[in-house]
Amino acid sequence: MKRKIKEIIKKATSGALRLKIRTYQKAFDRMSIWDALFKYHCYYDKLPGSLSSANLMAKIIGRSDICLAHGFIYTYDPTKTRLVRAGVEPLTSITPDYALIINSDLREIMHSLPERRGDNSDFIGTLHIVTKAIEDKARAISEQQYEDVRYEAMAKRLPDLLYRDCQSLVEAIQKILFYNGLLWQVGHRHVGLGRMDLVLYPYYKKDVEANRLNYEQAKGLLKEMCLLLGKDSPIKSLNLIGDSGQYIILGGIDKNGKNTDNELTRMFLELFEELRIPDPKLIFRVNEETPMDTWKRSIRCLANGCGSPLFMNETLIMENMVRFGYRNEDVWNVGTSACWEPLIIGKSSDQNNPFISILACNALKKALTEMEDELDYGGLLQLVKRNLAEETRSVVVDKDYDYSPIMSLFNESCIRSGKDFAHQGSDYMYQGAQLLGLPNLVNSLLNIKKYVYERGLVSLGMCREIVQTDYENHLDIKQLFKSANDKKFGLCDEDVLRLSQELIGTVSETIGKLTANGHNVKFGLSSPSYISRGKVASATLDGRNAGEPFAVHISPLSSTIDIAEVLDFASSLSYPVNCLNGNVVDYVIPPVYLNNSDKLVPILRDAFKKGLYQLQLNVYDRATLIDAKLHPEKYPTLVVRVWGFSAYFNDLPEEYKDNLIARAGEYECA
Amino acid sequence: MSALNVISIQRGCIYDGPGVRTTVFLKGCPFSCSWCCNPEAFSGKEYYIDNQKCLKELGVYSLLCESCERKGGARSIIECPFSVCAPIAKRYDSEDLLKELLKDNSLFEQSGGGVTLSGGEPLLQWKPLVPLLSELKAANIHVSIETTLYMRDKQIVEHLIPYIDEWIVDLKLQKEHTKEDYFYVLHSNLGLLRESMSRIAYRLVYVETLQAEKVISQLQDLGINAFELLKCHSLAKSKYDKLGMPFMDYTPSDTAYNVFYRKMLEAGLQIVKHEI
Ligand code: SF4
Repeated sequence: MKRKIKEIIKKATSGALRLKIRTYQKAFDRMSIWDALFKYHCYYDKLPGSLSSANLMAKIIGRSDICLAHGFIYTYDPTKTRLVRAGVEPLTSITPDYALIINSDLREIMHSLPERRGDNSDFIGTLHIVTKAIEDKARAISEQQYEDVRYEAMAKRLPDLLYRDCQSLVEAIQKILFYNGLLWQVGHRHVGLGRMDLVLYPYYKKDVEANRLNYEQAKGLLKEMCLLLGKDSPIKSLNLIGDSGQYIILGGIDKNGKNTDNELTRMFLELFEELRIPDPKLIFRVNEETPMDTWKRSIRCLANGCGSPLFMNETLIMENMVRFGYRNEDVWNVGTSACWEPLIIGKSSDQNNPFISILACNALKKALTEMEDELDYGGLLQLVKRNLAEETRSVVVDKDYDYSPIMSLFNESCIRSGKDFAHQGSDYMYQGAQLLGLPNLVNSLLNIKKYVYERGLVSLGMCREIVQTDYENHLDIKQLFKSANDKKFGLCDEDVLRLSQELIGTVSETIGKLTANGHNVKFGLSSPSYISRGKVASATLDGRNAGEPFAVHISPLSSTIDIAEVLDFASSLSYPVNCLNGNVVDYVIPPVYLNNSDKLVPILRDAFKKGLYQLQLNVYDRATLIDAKLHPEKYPTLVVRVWGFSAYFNDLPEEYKDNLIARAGEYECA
Repeated sequence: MSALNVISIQRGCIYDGPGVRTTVFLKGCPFSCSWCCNPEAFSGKEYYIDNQKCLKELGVYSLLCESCERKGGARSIIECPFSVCAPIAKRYDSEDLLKELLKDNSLFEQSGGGVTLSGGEPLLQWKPLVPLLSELKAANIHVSIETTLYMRDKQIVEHLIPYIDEWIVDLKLQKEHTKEDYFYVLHSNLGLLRESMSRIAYRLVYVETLQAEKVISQLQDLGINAFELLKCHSLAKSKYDKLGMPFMDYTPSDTAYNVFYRKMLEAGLQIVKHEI
């Protein structure tokens, strides 16, 4: 018994230690040596959700320094971090409702808390502790001495701001930054920014009407806000620098169904066109009413190479969300998790990327080893589908998640129910899975159909050997599989569409029967792990060698498929209701289109009208990327969009650079 | 009914007429400009041969190559499983082609675009084009045609006029062209178009052998005062390789191109520049 306990303790500590080592490593990689050596401290939280956890949060908030930059006070100190116990997942990719935060009154929120009872005692206790820490923080900031009068004035106002609506754009931005900083500080990751054009507009309008502010001054304030949020990008980022989940969502309908298209929408687009920064980034919610002028501005912004915005078809997404289970009255406020996974701002604690991705090609690999050689193609396809269902079931698991007293403060249903935001308190906690490498599987099956079954050029035995030996002695078949088949993923062809649709259908049906932590699960066709999982995966029958990246989302693998074709293909796919966790076409667009935005806009509009889900356009040309890889010093500001987020090209690991260069080459030929 | 011989269909084109267009490239051309970016149109060949894909050339052994003529076998390379051989053109009857073109009908509407017939010289296939054109007309789709207008039989041009919304006339003013009656034919066909009040745009591919002074006077003779100046490029090299045709790079220097452009402007001509 003792030994067992020892073992358990050992396991737990080693997990904790591993976690700590990783955290310190990241700090050393991404901070100044000085900060990492002398200031960095991580606080280990053994009991998330408990009063002691809240006390730890309070301690971190109390001990962290504030940052004075760009005219605002930011409450995030990257040298202090909270680490949750190994086995507990940090809360990732959530977006608070800043509209609610800006006009919140902390006292009123605390007054409306339910009676403290046995079952909500810890929850209410944690809220009291954290609220006090927030109030103390604001007070401490206001009591500090400042050389700059701007900061002085802002600091003095801060305690008062906690208990009232903001009166100006400056105040609103400051209040956002105050709470946003705290969310990062207590260990949440990928803290989204939400609909800044919609949320901030009333404050801007008030200022303008009172003659306190003009367009350019307001733009200056937004610029300072963005620069400040992007300042700690490396340490805020998860795997790759730039992957911080700081999304600003523009456009889309408001509560009354009217399009948000105000001066701030324009301001943000102009700013990103001018700034060329990778973090924060923009997502544009488009619908049929999105004005031509706003479209054009978005294209100009993209053409400048900042990788923003990514476009999402809000009409289609909102429809599917309602059919999935989100309430009709909530979907107008759709936002996204870190990259592209839809959620409801402020109301969702959806964890949209907690599982390892469903690796589509595993289904075929397994089928090949199981099957009898006499099986016909139809039988093989059935087997693949069965395995795909099994693979799907294996990745969706229950997980233990962190708690969030701060998010709970700004969620009415948490306050009403007396439950934490991530533990039954929020309105929605659907879970999201991702399907990786669908194009690779589709192309592999099309190859088997044609070359094994129809033309008899390749045997099933050879296929097995190829997967095992990575095309050793079969270079000819690699060539055949990679480029000879005229049917391939991305081609708007009946067979290709049907096969893709069937496989998507299999995952959809399987997922439909699963739950995680008691919640329904959705899935998407865009997985960020196409490089990392590809690295350790064996060869696939689409001509991909072992170790090579999988296809990026639902983008074609072939250079013969041009933008019109792939947009047509992606619009023709019908996305099942639960296939709503991000379905992005990622395309490197020839620069000529960007110089002709009046012609590109109708192309995009038409594709969205026909049912395109999400679109990410990149604009770099291959020659520039190659040169940038060789001479990074010449391209300090080259920004590229990687998997839903943008990053400086120079910050990317070599294999990502190579992948981008290869893809830019592919599409240039198109 | 005879079918149309199509080299390729390109959707999402933004330079061949108003709005976003689907351009149909048709086989056949009376000219054979050495800088042409669609040499397959006049090459007379039926297949591209991409030796970069040939395993024998690459030195990769394959059992599948054993029966190939390149290995002394009986199988023609047209049957190559590695797609070394690919047909240059595809035959469409007008119904199928129309179906293909209608895929972008809503895009045409949104962008004010339509279909552009190009080539080669599309007028050479005027006969099978007529049923397609009348269908396009019936579907209310804007049609542009990019043509040299080198068609001796005036009646053909006359016959097509009602179906075409815009004529993009590719001017063959380069000295390399030796059709003696070129200007005569062009004059007379232009006359027809002008009489019928057709919309006409002009294009000229710039290569360094063009002499500005001569071009200016030729344009004056033709009554042309605005045109698009296209800078010749070398993007078609791989096509020449696959056709087994020698490739000569006619890409002009920026200086020569700009000098020519300026001279045109000084002569009072209106020019839109296109560089790729
Ligand atoms: S079969 Fe194809 S690849 Fe093989 S030698 Fe013949 S042409 Fe070349």
